[in-house]
Amino acid sequence: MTGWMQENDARHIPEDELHAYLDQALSRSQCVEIECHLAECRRCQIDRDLAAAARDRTTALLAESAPRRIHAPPPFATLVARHEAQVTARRTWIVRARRIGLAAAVLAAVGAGWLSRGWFQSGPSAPATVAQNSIEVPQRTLVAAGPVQLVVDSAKVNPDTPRSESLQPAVVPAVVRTSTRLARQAPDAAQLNAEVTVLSSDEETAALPGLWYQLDWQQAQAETGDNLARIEGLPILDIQVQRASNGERPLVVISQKHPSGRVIRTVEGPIDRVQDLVDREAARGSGLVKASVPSLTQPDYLGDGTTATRRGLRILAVLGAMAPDSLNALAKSIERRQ
Amino acid sequence: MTDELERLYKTTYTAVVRFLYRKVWDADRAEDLAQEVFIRAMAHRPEKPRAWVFAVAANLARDEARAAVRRKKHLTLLTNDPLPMSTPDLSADEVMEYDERKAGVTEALETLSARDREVLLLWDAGMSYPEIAEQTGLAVGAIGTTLARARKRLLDAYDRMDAGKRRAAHS
Repeated sequence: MTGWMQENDARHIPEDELHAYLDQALSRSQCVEIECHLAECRRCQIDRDLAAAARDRTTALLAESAPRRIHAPPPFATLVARHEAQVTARRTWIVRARRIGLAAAVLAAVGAGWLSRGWFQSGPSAPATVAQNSIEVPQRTLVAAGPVQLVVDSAKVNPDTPRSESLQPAVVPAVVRTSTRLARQAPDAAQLNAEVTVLSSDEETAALPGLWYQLDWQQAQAETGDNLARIEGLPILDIQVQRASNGERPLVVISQKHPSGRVIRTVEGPIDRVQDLVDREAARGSGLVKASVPSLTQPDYLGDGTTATRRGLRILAVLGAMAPDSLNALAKSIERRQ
Repeated sequence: MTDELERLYKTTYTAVVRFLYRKVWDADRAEDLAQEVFIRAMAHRPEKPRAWVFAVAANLARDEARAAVRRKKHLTLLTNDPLPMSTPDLSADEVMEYDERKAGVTEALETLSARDREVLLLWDAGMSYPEIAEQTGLAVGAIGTTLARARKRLLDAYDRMDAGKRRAAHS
């Protein structure tokens, strides 16, 4: 017992040891040692009695602070039943939570699929969107016999202009032209939406000599650059291109519908090829087709930047069955824009 | 395990209720909590069921006290402990004297530190020194010291309050 108090050469039992002794919290050997000392030490006997009194009184006081009456405990089986009910309720909750989670996952998957449908459709549908925004220009067919009926979109027709006129074709070429799509995204998109069903004479719509490609607006822009020579404000009927073999920009012919009902062709390209085409058209048929005075356009260059060298001159001319002054005026409007 | 728990339930239930009552000061609530403690023991199957039961009881009582504070009913529970309506073995004077003593003990317990009160109530619930040490985190050798101090302070506080009440009664 190292913790024992020493006083006047006598060792005494400390109070906490006495409480532990009374509470029977000490080992058997410790109890024997304390009992041996108590048998000889009067002071420790008094301390033991005081500690025992405090212990007993504390127990009594605490008993008074206890509830006056405690009901008999319910049968243990009742607690077991309550425990099992709690377990069942917990399992039910877990099952429900799993079902709710599964349902939420399914809903989320469906919702994600719904929201992402545009992603999957965006690729394939892009051309479809373009098609919806483009204008289908109907096939134009040169009919074999009889006067042809010219029907023009009323919104685009000058009120002073008769809605129909008779044209008597001299020759009946068996030409069927394919449809041309003109995208609305083009700069003069407002004019491109007019559906023109034209049955025209060969003087205006005869096939051009040589090999030509019919392109839509975007293809023509890609082929020749953005600056396509055309008359502003007139609906475009078709665009024909004759490619050059030496890398030059192509010869371009843009056919447009004049409010008078006539077809106007703007020819732009290398000076010699444009001149050749103008001569051929002027010499063709009854000579109704006239040409404007040719004017220079942007020349072709070889290379770029400071090392670029001019490759050749380009000109444009406006062809049509109209007075030369009118054609010159139309050509001037194109020049100003160029 | 279930048989062991059932034996513990039969031998310890009353002690657990008393232990809980001195923390929540509500007899019915103490009984409910005691039953909840044993139901939890069924789910957890502790290795040392007796120590585990009192540890959980102490935690439940602590949670209950916090909830009572939140509900601002704690003081009401301390002062207005409902008495059983039928007390055929006590007269009205005896009931009054009992209530006074009980209120004095309650106040005296409140003067103890939390650690002293916990050790004292665990000992009163019948737990051994090692069990008390395990639950409170104290060394086993410190339990005797803590108990001696707690008993002395409880009696001093009770006697002080009792003397004050007697002086007040005489004056």
